[in-house]
Amino acid sequence: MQLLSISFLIFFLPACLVLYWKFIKTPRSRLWFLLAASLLFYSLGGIQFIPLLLALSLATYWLAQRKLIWPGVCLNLLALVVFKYWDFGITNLQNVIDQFDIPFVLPLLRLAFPLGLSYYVFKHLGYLFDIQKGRYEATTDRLTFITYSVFFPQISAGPISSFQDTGKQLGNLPTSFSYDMGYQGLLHLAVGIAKKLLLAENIAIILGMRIFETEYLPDGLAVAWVLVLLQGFFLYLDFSGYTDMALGLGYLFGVTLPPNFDNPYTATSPRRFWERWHISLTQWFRIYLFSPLSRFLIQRWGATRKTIAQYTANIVTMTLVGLWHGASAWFVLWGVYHGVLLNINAWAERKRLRVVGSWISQVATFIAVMFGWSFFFSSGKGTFLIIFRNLVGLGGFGSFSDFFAELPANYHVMLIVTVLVIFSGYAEAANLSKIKKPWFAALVGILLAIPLMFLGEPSDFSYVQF
Amino acid sequence: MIRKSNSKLSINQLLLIITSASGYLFSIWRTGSLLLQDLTRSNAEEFSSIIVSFIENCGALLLCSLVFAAFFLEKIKKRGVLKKDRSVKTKDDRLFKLSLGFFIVILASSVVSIVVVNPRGLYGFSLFPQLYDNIRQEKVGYYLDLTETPEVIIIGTSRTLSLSPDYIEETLGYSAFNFGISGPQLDDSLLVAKFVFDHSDLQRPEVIIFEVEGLHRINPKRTAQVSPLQFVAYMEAEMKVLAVVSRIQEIFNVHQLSEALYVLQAVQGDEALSTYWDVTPNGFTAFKPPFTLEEDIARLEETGRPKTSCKNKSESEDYIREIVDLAEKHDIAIVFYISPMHPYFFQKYFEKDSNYVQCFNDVYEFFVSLEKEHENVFFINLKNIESIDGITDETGFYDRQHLTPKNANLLIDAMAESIHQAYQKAVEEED
Repeated sequence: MQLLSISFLIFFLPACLVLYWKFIKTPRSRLWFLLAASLLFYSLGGIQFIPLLLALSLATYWLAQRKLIWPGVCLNLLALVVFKYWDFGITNLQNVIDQFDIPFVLPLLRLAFPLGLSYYVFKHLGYLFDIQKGRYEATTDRLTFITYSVFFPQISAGPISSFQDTGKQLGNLPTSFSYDMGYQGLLHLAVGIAKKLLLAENIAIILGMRIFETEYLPDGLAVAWVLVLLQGFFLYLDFSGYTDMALGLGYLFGVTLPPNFDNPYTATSPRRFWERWHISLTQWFRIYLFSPLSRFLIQRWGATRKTIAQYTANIVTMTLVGLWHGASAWFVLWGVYHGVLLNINAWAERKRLRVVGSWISQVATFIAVMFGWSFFFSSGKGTFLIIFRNLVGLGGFGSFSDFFAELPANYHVMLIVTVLVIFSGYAEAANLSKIKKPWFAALVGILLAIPLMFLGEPSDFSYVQF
Repeated sequence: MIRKSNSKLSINQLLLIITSASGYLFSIWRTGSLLLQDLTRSNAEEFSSIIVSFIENCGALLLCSLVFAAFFLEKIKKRGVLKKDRSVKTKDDRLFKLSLGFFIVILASSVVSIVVVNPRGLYGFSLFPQLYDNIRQEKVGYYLDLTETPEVIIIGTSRTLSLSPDYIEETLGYSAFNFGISGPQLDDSLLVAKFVFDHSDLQRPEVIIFEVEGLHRINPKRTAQVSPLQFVAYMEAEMKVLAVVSRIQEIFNVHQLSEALYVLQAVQGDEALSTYWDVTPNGFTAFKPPFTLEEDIARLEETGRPKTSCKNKSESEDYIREIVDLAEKHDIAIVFYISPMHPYFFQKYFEKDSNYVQCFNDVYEFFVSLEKEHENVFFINLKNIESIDGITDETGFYDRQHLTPKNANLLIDAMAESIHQAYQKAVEEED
């Protein structure tokens, strides 16, 4: 089932909330209910993957209890490799084999991708590593663990929260409805749906304009930069809209999920950007990969090579962050690019350059991040080279006139509002949650209603595919 | 995690605020100017587009306003302008109830407007004139108004619309009703047939004239979306769900809301809504094709050749068999016929599209064998225009496939013998 659909927002969600708060009284029965609702939600999107989800969840629970950490890690990674990376790896390997004219064909699996696999596998891996490190004890509450694993507000695209945080909350669900959390839920839902349906969907329509098709893309910086800016705005509004919705749903069921965004496009450095973009994934990689890898490299190479160790860890971590997004060389390149940006950032901080943290750094970071989206959205070498050539000015400056000539008049307001919201520094629902005024609450209610009128057909989020 | 803003405004920030305020005010002006146009002079499409843009912009501006409000309230609070919060601390339950209340009121107003005005005729009643004629709904209404069930009922696509029940009565002596509808698929026609069979309790029809295409076309999703509510009872379970879900989705369609507003303003201004179909109580419909013959020819020339495929062959044959079985059960004879095509297109399709020829031959063979298997089934292939005297006159076609009333009468003449035979068969079965 899709979060942005009439069937979910008008039927599934209200029915679940009424049952959850009105008819189910004890925290334990509420937990059972959340598990059932999550499995129903998941099965309506693809019932064939329910056994995989439950098997991985139960196996992780069982192996963690017996401190069999590495078998658990391997099992989860195996699922990820089989469903997400096998065909990518095999295709590349086959290309190498073909270069040597060896008559051998490797098998492709061509499997459908299970919804949310990358997200719940990462939750499982985080849990296993936490147990290994002794951060907390393995849970003996199977119901809580499985519910944590399949909790429907976050199963499609995160946030990737730790068991210590979300699992503990699920194990101690509130006994009564909290109006404060209820209001937070409505506010987050309103902002999330508005970002997605009113802004991101319209940017997607603009991105579908003929001028942005590779064969019609005019020469010059102007339109190429408009393209990457719009792609960057779209991705942010789409994903942060989803995150606000997921957080809102969590609040409505009495669970506080961790934030995933904090106005990333106003960041003053690449490091700050990654502290504000897809926060839960960044934290996961920082805790479970970057820090141990840095420590390991320093141990191996010695404290004198601490800087090199950090640079290496940055590149490795960001390459894997890129690979996490999908089995494509372009995602890998995007990750490497950000690894390089982080290293430049680390170098500048180490040299104590005055520019770090200034508005110049802020603008440079924004431009660098936007440039990076040209890797992320690239569909092939030819497309990339055309856009890259224009982005760096090899095609001259060009003109905005072609863009504005094709842009329908009613999209001007959308573009202005998009820019204002993104750069306000208050673009996240959490930024608005501190305002506790009745008129503000009334406007939130209206904001929640308006985008729903645009929900004719179910709509999906970009990050669900990752 | 959320960044704290600075308590003092720098010149840079001030410049940013001025720029933002200009952009915000410009957006408000652009949005407001949408409504300053003379909407009463707009046609339905223009009106709808303006209202949709207005609502969309209002939503976006509301989000922007909340963001700005949060920004300034926090700045003011930090600068100490509001020394003391004089208001009584607002209770959380009040905020929640206010949000939920406004949400419900706005959404409910939109839903009620759509359902009550029903501009697309999707909800089974019409308190207001419909913006888009729902030909299915109109024909169902006329059929239910009949005091006696007619002896001959015509079912099929828009190609049947110009077949005149009056002409059938004049020349063949049978009372008739034209239940042909625009753009149906085979599953659509099956629903019409089931509806007719189910409503023939007082006096059943003797003959159904059933127009079939030279191709198999099925589209349960579209059929579920456009069928009148009276047809839902005759749908398969999956299609029933689709029918209900699509209507519910349409309740949240801002385009339908804007159409409802258009109807309301037109009604208030005593403005007549333009009608697309001109349906008479016996089902005869003055047809207005979307393209002229010349435009149709130009489109074919542009695309090179028709693109056809024989999808859903076995499913459509199952549908036909189901109709035949139902007719047999009710002692009704069926005359299946394939409608003629304009000579130019007939030639192009049969010369240039081997797929079409293959599909057509399959369909032809199926109906020939069906006619042999069932005594109540009659089949006439009128695709080949040479089979009807005088129909080759090119002025007898509105476009590539829709006949003018003159040619429609020739078609009835060509089917007369089969209709008589079918009638006799049905009467014999009844006896």
